[in-house]
Amino acid sequence: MPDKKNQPVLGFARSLASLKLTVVFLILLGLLVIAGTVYQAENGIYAAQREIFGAWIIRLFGIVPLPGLLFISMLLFINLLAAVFFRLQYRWRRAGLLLVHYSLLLFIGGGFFIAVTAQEYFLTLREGESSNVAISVGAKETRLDQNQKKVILPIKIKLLDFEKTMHPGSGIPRSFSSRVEIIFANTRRRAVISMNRPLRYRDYTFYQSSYAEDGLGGESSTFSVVRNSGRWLPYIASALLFLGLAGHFLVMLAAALKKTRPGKVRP
Amino acid sequence: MSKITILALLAFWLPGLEGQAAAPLRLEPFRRLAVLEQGRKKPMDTFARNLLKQFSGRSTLDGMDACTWLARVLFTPQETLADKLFLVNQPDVLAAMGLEGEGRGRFSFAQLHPGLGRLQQLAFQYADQDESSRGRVENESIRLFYNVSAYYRLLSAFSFARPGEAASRDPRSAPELPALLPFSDKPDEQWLGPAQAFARGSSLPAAMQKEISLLAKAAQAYEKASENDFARALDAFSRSVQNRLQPGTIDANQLSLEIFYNRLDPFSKAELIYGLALLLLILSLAVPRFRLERWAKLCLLLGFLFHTFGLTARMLIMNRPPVTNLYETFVFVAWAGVVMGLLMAWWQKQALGILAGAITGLAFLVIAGRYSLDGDTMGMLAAVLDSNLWLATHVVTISLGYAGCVVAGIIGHVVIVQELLTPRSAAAASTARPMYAALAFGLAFTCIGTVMGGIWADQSWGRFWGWDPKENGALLIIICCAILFHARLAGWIGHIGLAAGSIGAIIAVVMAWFGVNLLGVGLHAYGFTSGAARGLLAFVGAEILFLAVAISLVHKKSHG
Repeated sequence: MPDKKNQPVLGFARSLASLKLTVVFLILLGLLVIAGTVYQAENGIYAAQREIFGAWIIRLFGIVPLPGLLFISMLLFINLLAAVFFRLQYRWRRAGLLLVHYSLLLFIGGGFFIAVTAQEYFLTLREGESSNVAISVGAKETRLDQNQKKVILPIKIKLLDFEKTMHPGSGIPRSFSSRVEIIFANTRRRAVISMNRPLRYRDYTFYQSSYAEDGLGGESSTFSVVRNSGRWLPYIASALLFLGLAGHFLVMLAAALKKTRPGKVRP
Repeated sequence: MSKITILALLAFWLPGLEGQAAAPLRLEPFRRLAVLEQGRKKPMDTFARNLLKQFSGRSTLDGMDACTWLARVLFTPQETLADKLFLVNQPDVLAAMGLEGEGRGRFSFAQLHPGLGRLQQLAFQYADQDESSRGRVENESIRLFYNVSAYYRLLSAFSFARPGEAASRDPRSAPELPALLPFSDKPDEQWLGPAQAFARGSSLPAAMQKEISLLAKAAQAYEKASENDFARALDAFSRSVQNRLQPGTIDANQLSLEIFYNRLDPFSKAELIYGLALLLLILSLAVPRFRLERWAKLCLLLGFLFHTFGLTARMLIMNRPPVTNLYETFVFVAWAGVVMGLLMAWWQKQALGILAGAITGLAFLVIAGRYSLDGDTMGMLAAVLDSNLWLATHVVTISLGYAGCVVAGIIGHVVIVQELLTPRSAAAASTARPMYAALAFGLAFTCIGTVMGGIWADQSWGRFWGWDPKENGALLIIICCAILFHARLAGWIGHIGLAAGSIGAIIAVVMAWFGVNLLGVGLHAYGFTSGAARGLLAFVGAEILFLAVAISLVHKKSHG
């Protein structure tokens, strides 16, 4: 869209909305995702997150600097923001697509927010043991070769019993679950944490992550503890995306039905 | 209507392809016995089919169906020693066993017998090795040993019923196959094999001892070919087992449905009929005056009916949503592709719809058929995958997305070929319209499926997005489609570019779908065979070659 207005700032902002930029950024994003996936197969997920998925700059062969995934995402975010302001058409027919683009803004923006604020820890307990000391698992720490960093949780968790069941006559696990007690000040309450059914406490969430047996009949259970105050962001974005796609589908369907009505069929 | 009746009759006649060599007596009561295998209660019929497929790579043996074969192995084992049962894919394994044999082939227990000592030694050594360091011969040795020893245990599963044969009195060494007798139902349900139960002897409850003697009676009746005694003993056995269990533990209707499903083999039928539809369509294009196109459309519809029945039956048998494992994704994407093809065929583009539907249906059912050789396709779910609502919605939605992209890619081939035949014609442009729609459908459903997957992941693993290879694969499909739509809007590509891009989207889909399993990492990596890996690479290579040649030709024609 050529814009000859005498406002250089606005003109620049408009040019940021360019579709061609979108295509270029998307291609770069795709290449990075492929590179990161292949890299992950070789080096594991934490290395891939540190070097590619969570990186502003990638150093190819340790030297050549290339934009990392965070960088490209930021460019896409700016491009999308500019498009929302200057390029997208605000008409009812386009309402669905508009919502879809808004939801993408929220996905990328929310992703940034969560990447900056969310923390993940591991908490391993033997049966009968209670603790409020979790070990943080983070990209930054691994880079400093200091694999584990301790944090104090606001509540104490006591593992009462870990139970795993198998599908009968097979080695396929049917479920893992841990009966725990949540200890906060003088209060104690019981809860169950199982696969696909985490325990939420304020902005902490405890997930059944893994387990171990010591061969003497004793079991230990590992929970991943996530503190994520932006947890709801992707949910809002998902809802917007769904609404937008459904709305656009209806608009398109109506248009298609109109087109195929007898007498109006195009040659 | 008469046309479809004719076709339906033809299709039902197709079961004739399955082995019809007669058993000495009617096996129905045997077929219906409930067996516990891999955590699932299934009819003996399915158990036998899985076993025979696992041993021989085929569903019949010398014209016998699997149940007939298994009954012989269990009740008259001596007669089966010379059956060419065991598929050996790597002749090197035979050499290692000190046996003669060339190429891939099937061998009998009697033929393999002299080398079994060596095979056992090898298999034990290889099994101790790290899985990643094993090659094909190593894996084949382990597989063959596993199969032969399973067969060997089956041979003595009923030896207690045969006078003059020594049956093991040690419950630990007695064969555990086939697990017919429920022993304890909580917490870890365990069913015993007949020999195992016999070895436990008088320590068992009276009802179980009665069941063992009923099984012995059935085995003896089989040997004497006395049909009535055989049926009476097995029916009494089934009733006794039912009575011991809580009602609903074994659902006789589900067992019968599963036997019918096995016998009808709806997906193989659908596969054949889709192939026929494709053939008729090609004929109709070659010789328009025969007017075969409508027959092709009816074939597609008929295949669709079988296909739908198969999907529904599986859901009823397993009490599960339609897509829960890799096998079912093939079947479901094939089905969705056929639905899209049918819709297109009725809406406007008859030939194109039949083509896209039949190719998708045929291709993915063929892949599913290959994949099913790996074992029971109705396996139980691992804990991480077992949460019905999200599983149902997420996987079904994303499979629909895959189907949309695949159909778009197939139409993409047509667009490019049309353009090559008559450059800048209206035909290619008009074909491109449903392609655009299919691609948009694919993008929309992949998007929804992916965010649903994110929600599922957030609920069960604690993160919405974790750069898991499968998530990346889905993201790549989305990015690929998004690039196409934006590039078209920017005026960088027209319908030819979109067609080429749709083929690129197919590649993205197959990479996301099974390429990820190829990488073998992440939470979603659930099993894949090396042969499939080569096929996948060959497919991707062929598509890239097609694209390169076609695009350069199109380019030359429009500029030359």
